[in-house]
Amino acid sequence: VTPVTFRGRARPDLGTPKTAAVGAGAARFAEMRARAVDAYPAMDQMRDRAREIRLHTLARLDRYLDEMADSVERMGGRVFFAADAAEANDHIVGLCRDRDARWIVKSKSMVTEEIELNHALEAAGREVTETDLGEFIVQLSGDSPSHIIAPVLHKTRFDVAELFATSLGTPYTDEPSGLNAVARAHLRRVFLEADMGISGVNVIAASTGTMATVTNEGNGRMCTTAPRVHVAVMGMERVVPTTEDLAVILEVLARSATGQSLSAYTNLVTGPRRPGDPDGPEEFHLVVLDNGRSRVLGSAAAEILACIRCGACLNVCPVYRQVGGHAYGSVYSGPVGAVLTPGLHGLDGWADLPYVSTLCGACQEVCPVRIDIPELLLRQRAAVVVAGAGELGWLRPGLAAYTSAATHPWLWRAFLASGGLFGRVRGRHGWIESMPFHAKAWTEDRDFPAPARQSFHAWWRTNREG
Amino acid sequence: VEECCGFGGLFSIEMPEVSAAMMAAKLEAVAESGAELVVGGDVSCLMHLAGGMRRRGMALPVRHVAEVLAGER
Repeated sequence: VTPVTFRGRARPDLGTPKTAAVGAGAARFAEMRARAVDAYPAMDQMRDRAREIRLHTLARLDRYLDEMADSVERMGGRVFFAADAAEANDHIVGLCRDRDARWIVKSKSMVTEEIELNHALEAAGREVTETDLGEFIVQLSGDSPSHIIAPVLHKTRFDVAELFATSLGTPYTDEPSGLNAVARAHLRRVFLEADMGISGVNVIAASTGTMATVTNEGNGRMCTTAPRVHVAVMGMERVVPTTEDLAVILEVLARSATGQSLSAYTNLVTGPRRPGDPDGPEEFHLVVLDNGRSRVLGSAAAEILACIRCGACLNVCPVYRQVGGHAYGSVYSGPVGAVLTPGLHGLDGWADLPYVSTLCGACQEVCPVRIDIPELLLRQRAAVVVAGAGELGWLRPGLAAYTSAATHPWLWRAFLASGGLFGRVRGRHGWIESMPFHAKAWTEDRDFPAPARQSFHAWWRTNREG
Repeated sequence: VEECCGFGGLFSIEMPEVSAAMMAAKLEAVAESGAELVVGGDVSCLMHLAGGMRRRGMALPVRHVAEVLAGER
């Protein structure tokens, strides 16, 4: 069986309305980010500060996770450390069983996509409703998210109009405000009747156990306050030392993601409802997920854990803009996904991801925590080569042949001469229109300049030395 | 459009369809701009773009920035 590769996943979508929607949406986000950054003179300083905070925390992650757990428990919450997806899912399913939670509302969370929590809950007979508009659309259509912050970037409003009319039975409308109203009417009832709310965590302060969720729809706030139990799931790298540090992350997060100075709803939660609080859940549970993160932390690509999941690197990536998120085969797409996915899940089956970049550096330019993504891609490529993973195919012998040609002058001259000969035989007006073997990939879409008849060395001998 | 042309070294051979799609986006932007000359700082990128233009029947000249500085036409 041929493994499904990035190339295999990308090819069918290239040049379709789906990837056109992604390209246009990503460009729009990138533009909004650029405008927000221009309007905020302190941005560069804040990015430096955010980077320091993230790297400082990662270097002492065990200590800050302990402090965070103590703080959350002091405020009346419970903390569970899950080694992998199965442990996290089992724990959350167990919470549902013990508390007879049958109906669960969720706000957008990539980490619960990573562990496929919805499948686990549904397999345990629970009903799950996604309440972020994008995730709601993903759930209704049985699709998967194609962008870290905009799950349905690959769908047009006409796709959504069709979907709502057929699966919700509401009258057809393709007006965005009308579609919003349909979802709102459907979801309002759900919030009030659900037994449990599940959210992600954008960032959490170790000193107080205060977690932030960042949304633009208010659904996150409903999920964390209306149901009687709130379960928050976080990748173990989401922590920062203090609430001041948390504020710095918020300064750069929304600007980088959507070009807003703050998202419409920035929700801070510290434990469950306290005596005298007018609202809030009776119980607060925090699930802290490893699922490969320890391995990444110990690898040459550890810096990728500094990521705050703004999606800016996806929006500017010329590869992502052409292929969309699904081509990356994992919930984390774009440049960050190309580094993170093989780190989290291992190289087996993911060894091609570090190669799906031209290393143009656009991602690094916009990263709010200045992660050197091109360098990390190179380090992941090195890991692939060292491990002998992936389908390097002709690359290894090809580069070996090149190396010996480049280090043996007589072989190099023979190589150039054969190139010149090939150009003379196949060239037409100085161009070659089709090449054999692997070079065929080049001439499928472009011509290749015919090698010069005379090498530079030969030209020099005749014209300068003689 | 300030965006990579899609060459990317072996990327152009390993992911040829994606590379070609990126090139197409770049060349459409070139055509739209009304430019009469394409100048770049990397010969491989220029080889990729020149080859793509020839295949599409776009007749723009392509020069390395050094050629422009040397006053060649």
